[in-house]
Amino acid sequence: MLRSLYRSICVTSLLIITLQWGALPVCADVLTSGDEFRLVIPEPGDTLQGLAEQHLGSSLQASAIARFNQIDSITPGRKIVIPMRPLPPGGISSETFQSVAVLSYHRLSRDKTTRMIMRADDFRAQMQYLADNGYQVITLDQLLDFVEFKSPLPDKSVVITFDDGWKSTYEIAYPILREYGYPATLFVYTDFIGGAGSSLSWAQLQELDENQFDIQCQSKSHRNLAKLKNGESFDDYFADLIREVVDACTEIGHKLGKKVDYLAYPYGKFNALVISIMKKNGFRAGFTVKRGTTPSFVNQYLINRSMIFGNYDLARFAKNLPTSSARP
Amino acid sequence: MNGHAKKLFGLVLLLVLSACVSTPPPQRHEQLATEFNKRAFALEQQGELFQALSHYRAARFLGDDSASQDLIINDLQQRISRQAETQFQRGRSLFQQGKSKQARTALIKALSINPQHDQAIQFLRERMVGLFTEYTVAEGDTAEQIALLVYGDVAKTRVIQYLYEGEQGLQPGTILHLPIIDLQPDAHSSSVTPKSVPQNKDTAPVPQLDASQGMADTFGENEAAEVNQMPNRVAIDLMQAAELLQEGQYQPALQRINQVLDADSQQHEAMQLRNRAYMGMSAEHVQAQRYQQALQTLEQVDKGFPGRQELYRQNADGLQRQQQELENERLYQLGLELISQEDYQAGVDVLQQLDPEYRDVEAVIGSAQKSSKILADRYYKQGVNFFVKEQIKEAIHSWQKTLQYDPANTDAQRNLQRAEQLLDRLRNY
Repeated sequence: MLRSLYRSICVTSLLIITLQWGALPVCADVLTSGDEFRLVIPEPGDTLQGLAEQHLGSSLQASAIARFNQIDSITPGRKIVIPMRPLPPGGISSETFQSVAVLSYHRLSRDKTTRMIMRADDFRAQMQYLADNGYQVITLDQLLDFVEFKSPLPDKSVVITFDDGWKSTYEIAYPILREYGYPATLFVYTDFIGGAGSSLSWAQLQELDENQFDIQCQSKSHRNLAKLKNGESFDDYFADLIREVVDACTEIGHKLGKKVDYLAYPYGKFNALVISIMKKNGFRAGFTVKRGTTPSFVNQYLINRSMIFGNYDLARFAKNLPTSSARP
Repeated sequence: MNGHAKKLFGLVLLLVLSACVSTPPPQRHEQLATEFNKRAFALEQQGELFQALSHYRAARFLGDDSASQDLIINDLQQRISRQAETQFQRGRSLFQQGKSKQARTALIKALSINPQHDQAIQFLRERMVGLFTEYTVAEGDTAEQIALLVYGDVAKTRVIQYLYEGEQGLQPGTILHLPIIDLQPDAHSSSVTPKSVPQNKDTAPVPQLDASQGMADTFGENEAAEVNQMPNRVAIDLMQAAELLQEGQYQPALQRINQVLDADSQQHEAMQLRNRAYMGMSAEHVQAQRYQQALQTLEQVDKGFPGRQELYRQNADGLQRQQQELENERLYQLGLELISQEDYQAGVDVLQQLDPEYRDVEAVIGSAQKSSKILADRYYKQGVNFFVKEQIKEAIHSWQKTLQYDPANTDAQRNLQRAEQLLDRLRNY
């Protein structure tokens, strides 16, 4: 009885205050708060990640708090200034700019390896390398927030993506990623999805999307979107682009009950017309296979991805990762 | 717990929560503010101006609300703004000179000084990529006309309709961002999905393939390297040319267009841009009344190019106006010359060929007629005086002069006639 009374008073008070002030109520550890900054006194047990989560909505922003206060960790009782906006926006400073690696995988196998098929052990070793070397695996949404200058990212940020829709993504990659707690994106083309042979089923995609993965779009048939087929008229080509880009990606959205925001260009090929169609239909970004990392000022329809081939050793893999920053 | 106790407990809880959530009074955290000011100063010395600004602002947030703090912040904001703008303009200029790499460095530098410089971001993301061109919709434009003008291909009408009609439509003044379309047939394509691409066996049964091998063949690092070359040089040259055209810099634009045409004389977008460049130059000549040059430049524009005929007509009209103007001026100067020689009637006759509103023609004619009348009156009276003194020849000369200045002077005509008759009789006598 007493507990329920207490809870109801608490909830009601917080609700009233939140509605009245349009913001979360200021609590004990917050000394003062404004649009740009918030001053807090951490309590024992507080961590940078916890403060970032509590005040900025994402633990990824812990390094931004650390940088701004020139600290490596929290000392209880020592005041901390939390910058409420990304500093510097887009990770650009006078000598360097931050960039993010987007890795592109295709198919995994337990034993076989070719250029396009990676052994499970090698994949696991690469994930371990990321963990051992302080890389933060982020989602595409977090990458795009960085590209749109909305939020900062840790210095060594990496995005993991898979293409096509191979069953091995579900059977091999998913359990390994789950072990490490790494999010990943899977770009699928709808003609391949169905569950027979080595392709994923829609049910498996649904399960992946509800867990470690973000399912996104790679067209309908995996055709080269940048070129006419032999004998194809411009009218036919244009109509097919709509099917490949708009209809296929909408279908994925409908089947998985989500909005599809990203397109990986089949073979990494694109042209301005494809990008125009994407913009018209509200796509947030497009992904090539241009090797290299991606700074914040990139055109978001031309985001680089580095293909990680099955024959890469760890040293070669590591060459595709961002260093702390790059010189302009 | 009875009702009373519950109420009391509730009240206490509310008080505790109220204390917890009430806005704390403004506090000064001077030590921390000083620390942030020191860091800000160090960052400023290192050239990290934007970060320095954030630290100065943090110091103000922490309680350093002195007037000098505001001055420092304002001054730094202005420096950031100025320096970033300088770098941006430099980047833009380098880009226009075709120095893309240096341009990129300058634009990133602008962003490093002011990461909120939207134009620099926009330039790096859109213009330097060179995938789009801009077209400003003119009065009466249709999607078909724009397709013809931009792509030289009416089949692209559909693109414009898809991208722009149904929204704001094609309102005059709207700037369209149109994709540069340079499509080549895919030599390796067929109506069948490439064998290297895995198929869903439910919908498209195909023989079992070693898909990995196929992908590696068709899409290895070599191909990735080829993709790396996008956007290609042609697209960049054309983009730069289009931008220069927008800014009215026709010669540098032509330089880039010709680079493209040197490699491929039939490159469609380049040919269209060349037409636009010559059209722009012609229009400038017309504007500056250099009609002959305009005519010569228009000869470089393809005959069917939209707007050419209209400009040609404008130029012809202009040329005609210019010739008329020259003739008017010649007559005007001749009239003035005659009037200055007191040949008023001849001067007025010349000036009366001109539009009365041309320069001060009407006033000059009025003044000349007035002067002429004065002279005519003077000569008339002089003639009468000579006649009275029986100086017939002098009287005749004076009335002739009178009629020179006032041909309609009937008194002078009558007197002249009588004087000449009298002189004849005297000679006969």
